[in-house]
Amino acid sequence: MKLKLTGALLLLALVAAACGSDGDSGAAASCAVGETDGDLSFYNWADYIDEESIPRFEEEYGIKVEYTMYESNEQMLAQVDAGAANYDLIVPSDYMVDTMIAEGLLMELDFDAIPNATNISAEFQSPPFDPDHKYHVAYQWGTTGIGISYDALEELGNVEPTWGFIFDPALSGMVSGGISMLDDAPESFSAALKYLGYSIDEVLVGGNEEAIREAGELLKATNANLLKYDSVSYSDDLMNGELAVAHGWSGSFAAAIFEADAYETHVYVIPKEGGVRWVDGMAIPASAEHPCSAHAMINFMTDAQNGAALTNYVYYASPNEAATEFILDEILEDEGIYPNAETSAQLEFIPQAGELGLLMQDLFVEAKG
Amino acid sequence: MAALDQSAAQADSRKGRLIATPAALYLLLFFMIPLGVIVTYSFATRTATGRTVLTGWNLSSYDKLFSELVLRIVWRSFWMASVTTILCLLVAYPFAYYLATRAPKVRNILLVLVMIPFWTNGLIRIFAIRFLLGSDGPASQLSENLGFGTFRILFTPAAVVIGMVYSFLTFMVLPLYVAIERMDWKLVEAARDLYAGGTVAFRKVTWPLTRSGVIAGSILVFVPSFGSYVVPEILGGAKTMLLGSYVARQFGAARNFPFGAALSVVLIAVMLIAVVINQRAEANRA
Amino acid sequence: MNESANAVELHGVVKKFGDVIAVNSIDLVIADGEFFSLLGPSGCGKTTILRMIAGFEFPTAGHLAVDGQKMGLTPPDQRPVNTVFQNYALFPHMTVLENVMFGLLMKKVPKDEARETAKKVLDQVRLGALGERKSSQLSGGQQQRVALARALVNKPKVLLLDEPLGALDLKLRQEMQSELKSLHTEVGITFVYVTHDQEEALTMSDRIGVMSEGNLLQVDTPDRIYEHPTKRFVADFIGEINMLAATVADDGTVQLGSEQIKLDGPSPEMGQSFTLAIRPESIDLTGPDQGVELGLNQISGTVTHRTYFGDAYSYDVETGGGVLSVRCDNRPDHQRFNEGDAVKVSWRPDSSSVLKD
Ligand SMILES: Nc1ncnc2c1ncn2[C@@H]1O[C@H](COP(=O)(O)OP(=O)(O)OP(=O)(O)O)[C@@H](O)[C@H]1O
Ligand SMILES: [Mg+2]
Repeated sequence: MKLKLTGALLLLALVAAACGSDGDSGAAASCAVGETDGDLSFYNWADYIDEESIPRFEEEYGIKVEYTMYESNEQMLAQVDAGAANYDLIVPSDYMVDTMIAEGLLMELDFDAIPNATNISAEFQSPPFDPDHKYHVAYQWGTTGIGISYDALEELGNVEPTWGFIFDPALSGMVSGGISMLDDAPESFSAALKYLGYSIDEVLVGGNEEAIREAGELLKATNANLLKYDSVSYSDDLMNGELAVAHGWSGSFAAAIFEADAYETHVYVIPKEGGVRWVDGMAIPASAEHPCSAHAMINFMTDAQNGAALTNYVYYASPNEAATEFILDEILEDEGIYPNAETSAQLEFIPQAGELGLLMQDLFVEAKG
Repeated sequence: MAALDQSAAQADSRKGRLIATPAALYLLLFFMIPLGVIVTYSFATRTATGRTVLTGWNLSSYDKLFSELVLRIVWRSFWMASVTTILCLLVAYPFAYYLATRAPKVRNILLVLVMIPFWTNGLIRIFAIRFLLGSDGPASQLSENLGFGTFRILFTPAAVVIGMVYSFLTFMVLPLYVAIERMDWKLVEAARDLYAGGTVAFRKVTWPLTRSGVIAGSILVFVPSFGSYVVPEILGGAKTMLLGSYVARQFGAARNFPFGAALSVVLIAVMLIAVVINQRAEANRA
Repeated sequence: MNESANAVELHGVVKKFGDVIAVNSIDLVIADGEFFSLLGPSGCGKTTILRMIAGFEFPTAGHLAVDGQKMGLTPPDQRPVNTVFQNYALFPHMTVLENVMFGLLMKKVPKDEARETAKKVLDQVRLGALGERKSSQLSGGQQQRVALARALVNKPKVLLLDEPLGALDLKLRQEMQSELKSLHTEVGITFVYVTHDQEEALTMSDRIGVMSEGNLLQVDTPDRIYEHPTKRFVADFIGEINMLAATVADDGTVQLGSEQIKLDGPSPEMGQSFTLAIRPESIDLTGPDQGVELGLNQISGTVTHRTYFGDAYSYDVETGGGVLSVRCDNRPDHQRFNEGDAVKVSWRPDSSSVLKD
């Protein structure tokens, strides 16, 4: 009987925790520049920081950094939401920043403590997911497009890259190797919407369910021509020949092509219809216990040279304007990483999709058969 | 006298309870409470951004269970798990038979060999299989060298079944081994003595007497296959959506905890019912 | 069916398990309808012989025939023999009736007919009422009878029984012994019966084969086995017996210690020593001066020990030929001797046996 009671109480506590953290964002932090308030718990994507930054930060500020990694925004969200561990610094992607702001999971930043924030170029200072630039500081940005082997490109007649490589059976049928798409509903739908000539933002923010269903049908029709859905090892599989055409993220291809020294055989392209642009930003969870240390780290990573070191290591584009002069030329000249102005104009963020997000998830599963 | 008996029985059961306490606490903490949370969540509401709110209790997650999509995934999971179970049985029975009929020393060595894969992380083993089945893997290369051309099983349902058979085979081998090993071989001799040929003796004696192992092994293989997540993701290229992946997706990308919870509740209930029915049937037979 | 054939024949049969020689070059002929027992201590190879006849093992050397047919590698299901196993080996997942019907169904007897026949045989072993029980719900004696019925229902040429009564208690065992014996007479099937119980073998068998360490030492009728063992082991294994060292002198006379005795039948070669065996109850004990029948062996001695058995007295008598154990029935006319009494022991020459090892 006593045990039953304890169980009920525990259950109640869990339920209360789930209800509790509703409402608006937590209080803003107030820190001095360079102020630290204890060791930093840094929760970031795998392979997403250069090897020297953390030791240098630890030395400079005399605190320890505990660095843990996640593989998806949702995984990170679940951890932060559950309060399983108290993270001080996280790196959510654009739509996740939006979601976390809406759910009150982010702390308003004290930009006085981040003087380097001015290094961030203007276009990243008021993105749709954080228009007032209060909750995040851009970390890296990239695009979603197509990684392809020159052999496949040749089979396709060296035409201008298009999402049709994946979605047009007449084109995809010419490719003898495997084709893959990201195992990620918003990304795959965005690609389909772009191919169909829609604006991602208009469809998702405008609530155009018709367009979503149309994209769903397209994905369903495409399923049979795909070898697989994969968000993890597609760039390696492109290198080893398992795949010939892969839908994926710019930096992942850049790193794989660099590692395999495959500049002669493979290339990352943004289709003529345009693709997805994404930004990962540094943000501080509302539950952070060491917000000042986190501010110090944000400021550190936003430093021109440190920002450049990051990009020189991870091969994604830097939102840090001041860092440009320290970034390797081969990266700056790579159109796969820094698309030209014309292509850039075609790129769109994926906004928080609300109910349509759920619909996309369902239609995505449906599309897989 | 009767009173004495009773108090002795009480003392006995008190002692029994004391011994069982750690296990009970463990189960309560790590099984019953999470189960309670899952059941609770299955009636909760998902907000537009994917947050789960524990107000406005409703059955909409259960409604959704009967959508065509879910039923299709359930059906596919069911038959793939069935095929996996049957293949495991076909592979494991002769092997367990062989194992159980070896001399004890050989038998122990073979048993250790059966267990060795378990010392390796399951994920790593699945990646090894992925390598084997790839278009540039050894299997394909061998076929090419033999003049049959390359082939790819990877990222097909066949690869998923192969992976699941590989992953769960031991769960079939061990109960079968135990059942065959403890069978009285004199009974088979008795059948042979009574004019049954080898095959008939197997069908009339060995098979029915080892059926408990067959059933235990089948449950142990079917249940994890039915809810399998890792294998279809890695070997199926996420193209063959099975129930396990679907549930995981609800707690990941889709952020639909209530629906994921409802799926889990039904999954658990179905398994439980299957096990209970089987136990009833077994009890009736005995 | 081969009318004139012997039921079982073994010729030079050897069975080795690795280095272990379980059965060592055995020749044996068992006649049709005979109740033949294999008697010997544990591990002497009795079961192995049965298993070779049944077809569960094949001889390493030599060959065997059942009903005049050479068996070679014929599998068990094609041999006209049935076995009653040491622990019955009833099928636990079948009812008693299903157990008994099994062999008939395997022989493609129609189901109804098989059921009727099985019921009849079950009646015969007095289990008619228990047909629907599971075999695990029977007592030891009942299981034993089911096993018997299951084998007999097939009317085999030869029935092999491997210590069928070994698991039963004494009283039940004696009861079953006589039941088995009368069943044998009734059905007229050849029984090959394995036991390590000498009394069982003596009371039931037409002939007994005594085994030791894989060797078949002596095959004979029960009385010959008992009264005239030819091997030290056989003499020793069955009942009590006096074994005394004796020699044949160069002149052909037989010397038992300081005494001279006579043997019946051919004696061993001259100058040889041998063992003389004689049962305690074959020896008469009389007063030192009492006359004894002519032609008997007689030696004088002294009683050193007396044991009372109720129905008999046993005396140890010290003689010139060694210590002899003598058993006298406790009849009213029995003359009792005390320790220290001078006595005369006497026996008929044909009561003693000459043992060769
Ligand atoms: N399958 C086997 N492998 C190895 N050795 C065996 C095997 N079967 C029997 N033996 C050996 O052969 C010898 C004879 O065995 P068997 O079973 O015939 O004895 P038994 O006379 O029936 O004894 P018991 O009265 O104890 O049943 C024994 O030494 C036994 O250990
Ligand atoms: Mg035996």
